[in-house]
Amino acid sequence: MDNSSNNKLDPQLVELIEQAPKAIKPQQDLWQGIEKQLDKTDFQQLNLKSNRPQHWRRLAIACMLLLTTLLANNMWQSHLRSTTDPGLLLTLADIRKQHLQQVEQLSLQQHVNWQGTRLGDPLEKGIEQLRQAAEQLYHALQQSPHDKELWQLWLWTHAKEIELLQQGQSLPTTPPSQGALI
Amino acid sequence: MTATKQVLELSQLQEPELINSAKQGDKHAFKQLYQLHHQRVYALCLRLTGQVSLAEEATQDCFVRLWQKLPQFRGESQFSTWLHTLTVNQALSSVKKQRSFWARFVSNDIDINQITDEYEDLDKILLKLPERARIVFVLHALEGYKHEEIASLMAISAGTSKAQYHRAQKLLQQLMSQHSLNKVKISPADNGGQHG
Repeated sequence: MDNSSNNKLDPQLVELIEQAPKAIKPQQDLWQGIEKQLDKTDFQQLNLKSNRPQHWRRLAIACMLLLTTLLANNMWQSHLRSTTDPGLLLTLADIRKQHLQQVEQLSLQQHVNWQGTRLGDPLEKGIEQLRQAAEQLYHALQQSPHDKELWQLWLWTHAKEIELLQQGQSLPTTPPSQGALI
Repeated sequence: MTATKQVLELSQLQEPELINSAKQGDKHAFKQLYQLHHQRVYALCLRLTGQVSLAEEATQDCFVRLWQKLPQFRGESQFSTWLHTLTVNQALSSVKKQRSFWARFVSNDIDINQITDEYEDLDKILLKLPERARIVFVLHALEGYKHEEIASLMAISAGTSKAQYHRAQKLLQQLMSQHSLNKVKISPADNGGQHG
């Protein structure tokens, strides 16, 4: 017993602790209950050796199930990729091709040579930035063709580029006081 | 050889011999060990669990566990010390199984006067303490465990153990004064002189 801490106790409490009996008789006989459980324990111990391999078997089965689930999941994911990705990638390439054709047609229909003028400079820079962004987005979409936000952003860059090219067409040859807005 | 004669011979065996026989699966020897130690085990279980029914269950579980673990006893420490450690672990495990959320914080609502006279004064008031405070007090003040050891057994910090010990101390002092007041109220004259 830790006497130092008991010394700080109330003397009456110390007396009670010292008088406390080390043994107390239970109100009822507990042996019978113990004996029954001993018999059960003996039976369990006899079966323990034969049960031990079963325990490992269960663990092995659980591991196999887990492994199978993981493999199936992995295969399903790759199957999904292989079935959906080529279609999406083709659509992606088609849209890009159509956009490039549209841009080319616009340049062929060009009546005003606005490029290289003071008013056309900001438009040109904006178009260049949009093209760079569209190219980066195109590569990102090739990696993850299911990303809806990337798709929206990519299509927006296309639409904005066409819009700027059309704005360039309407630029006056002699510059007024206001500039073009990007 | 008659059964009575066998029992008589077994009762004359010394504890190490009883342990060895019980290790070999001799239930008569194990019963002798039970008879030698069960009151000490029960006292510890009662103080740690704070309930008679739970103490009885914990005592039984202790001896079943002892039967299972006895082959592991190498005699490197005293058997009583080994059994004591086993009892503390078993009793704490029983408490944990039975523990309700509120029991950890709220003291047992037991009327001291209703507790039978077979318990000594300290055991009467110990049953009134909240679970954690009671366990810490029993282990530290009665069983001599250090706060660090209690902390490890109960998965709490040593600081918490100390705090619970001081809480138990204060509560016990309050209960003692309440108890002595009750004793004064129930004087031998009022009680027909039969109260012990």
